[in-house]
Amino acid sequence: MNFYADNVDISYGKNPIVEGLSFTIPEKKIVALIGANGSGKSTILKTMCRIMAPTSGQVILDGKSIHSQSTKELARKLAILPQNPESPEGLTVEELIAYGRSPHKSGYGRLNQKDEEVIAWALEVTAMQEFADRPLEQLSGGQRQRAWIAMCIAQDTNILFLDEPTTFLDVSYQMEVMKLLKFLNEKYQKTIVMVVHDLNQASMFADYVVAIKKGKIISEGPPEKVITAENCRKVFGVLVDIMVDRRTNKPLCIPYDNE
Amino acid sequence: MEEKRKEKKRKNRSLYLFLFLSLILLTTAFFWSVCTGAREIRPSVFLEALTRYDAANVDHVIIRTLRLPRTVVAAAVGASLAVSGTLMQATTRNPMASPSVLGINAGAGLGLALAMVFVPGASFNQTVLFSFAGAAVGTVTIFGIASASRAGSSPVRLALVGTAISSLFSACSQAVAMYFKISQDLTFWNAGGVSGVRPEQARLLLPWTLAGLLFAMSIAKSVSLLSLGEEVAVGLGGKTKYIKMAASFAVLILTGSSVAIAGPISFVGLVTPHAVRFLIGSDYRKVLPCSMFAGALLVLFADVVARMVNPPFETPTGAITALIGVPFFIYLAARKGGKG
Repeated sequence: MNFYADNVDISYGKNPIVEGLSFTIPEKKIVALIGANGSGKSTILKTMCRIMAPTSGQVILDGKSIHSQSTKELARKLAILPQNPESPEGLTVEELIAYGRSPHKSGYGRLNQKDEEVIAWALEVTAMQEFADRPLEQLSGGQRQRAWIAMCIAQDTNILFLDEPTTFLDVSYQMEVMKLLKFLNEKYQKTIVMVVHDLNQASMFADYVVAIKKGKIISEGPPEKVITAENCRKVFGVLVDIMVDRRTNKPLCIPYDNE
Repeated sequence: MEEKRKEKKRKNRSLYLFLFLSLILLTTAFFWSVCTGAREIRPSVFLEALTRYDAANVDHVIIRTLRLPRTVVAAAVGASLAVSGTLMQATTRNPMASPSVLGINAGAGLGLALAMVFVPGASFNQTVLFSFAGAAVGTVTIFGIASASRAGSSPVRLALVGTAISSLFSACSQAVAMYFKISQDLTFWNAGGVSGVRPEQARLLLPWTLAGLLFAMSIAKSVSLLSLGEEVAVGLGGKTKYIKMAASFAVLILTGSSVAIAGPISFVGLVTPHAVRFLIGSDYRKVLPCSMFAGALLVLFADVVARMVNPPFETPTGAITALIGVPFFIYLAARKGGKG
């Protein structure tokens, strides 16, 4: 896998959001994009996974621009979980997961043996078997998010994009979702690219952190390199104490004031 | 795993049961419709009229020139409007979307009013083109406003804007009608109904309906992707722009042609998809064909009732469907309105 943005500009209408971004996604790693609200981190994520198109520059995957590749072919290489997705009323978990197979189907999309197996696997990995026939609106926030992740992994892609997968979840569900992503990364070597709000979650779960401010990368690298008092001041305008988590040896940051 | 299979079978069974029952009901309603009216006709006579037509037999003539066209058109219009509503609800992810709520019926109506004025004596196909053009203007207006402003961001706001546009188009139609003295024609048409349908109109409508329905069924899978939201649909490999355009195109054909012949029969497009989803779930690959049957059944049934309410006079079909639809719409608005 060779996946990078090459000198990319992105704008909403006439407002430039990102200018001259170049950034390579490290393979088989968990990558966390961090930054303040409106910093452009979601925009960058959406452009890297073709939901948005750059105004200039290219995003290259395996030698080809993703914005000129067949979208169905790409759907077999990368899966996307947008922020706060909503399903049509009455859709059950298993029906949702079955949609994950659609990039592999043609015609009316009747499921074959292999599809059934992948769906069963996705249910099992996300521990959603017992909820398979429940409509999504009857699930808790954490279960619902696991169902959507199950749909993404049923797509059987090597790369997974997630936009704030833990927002709106309480802390125990946040842990649940993050642990699931870590598991998918470790057991199945999936490359995971996500936007995260919580710096400590980024530090705890990501192998590679990208700090973004006003559409520019301020710092990137392993958490201990990026999550520093200096960067927190630059990126978020907050003053923090950095400690080391004794369990993981990763940085822990505790904000105490605005700049 | 074994249990899973059974579960799956059970789900498919509800789909097959739905299709089976709706076919039986459709057949029943069909016979009921051709046999009921100011003059009662026995089903055996109906079959005779088809197989051994006798132009001297009054019953045969009634069946061939009045009842059969009317029945076929009622079913076609019902199927078209229901499928249009389903496509719109799926692609906008708005439970209140339908051709009448979003102003597409009224747009088609305005097109027709203009056709009556400027191309008097136009053929049915020419009239349909005006109706398409009006429906297209309606579609472009509502989605233009929805995407350019915050109006599209909530179901209720989109429905409100649609209603406003709808009123505007109706007002324009009425102004045109008053000014050019075609009020009576327009009022009759606006009431919505299939009572005056002529055989040649039915023959002209059917190709449009069949083409539109087939096209709608062919994009069912893509439409069902879009019902998960645009970004998810892209992630799953859907070409969202293309799907939306294709769906709008199908809506134009189906709504434009049925409105041209039967007037704006309201609420079929709104109510049917909800009822179907309630029965068979949210997978639009199933919802679309089921809506087609259910919509045909609803209008066919409403048309028979329209003949029976106050015989020998005809109650407009649109009034009957509205009578069923309005309480349902209020129920939906009360239940879902706050969302989003």
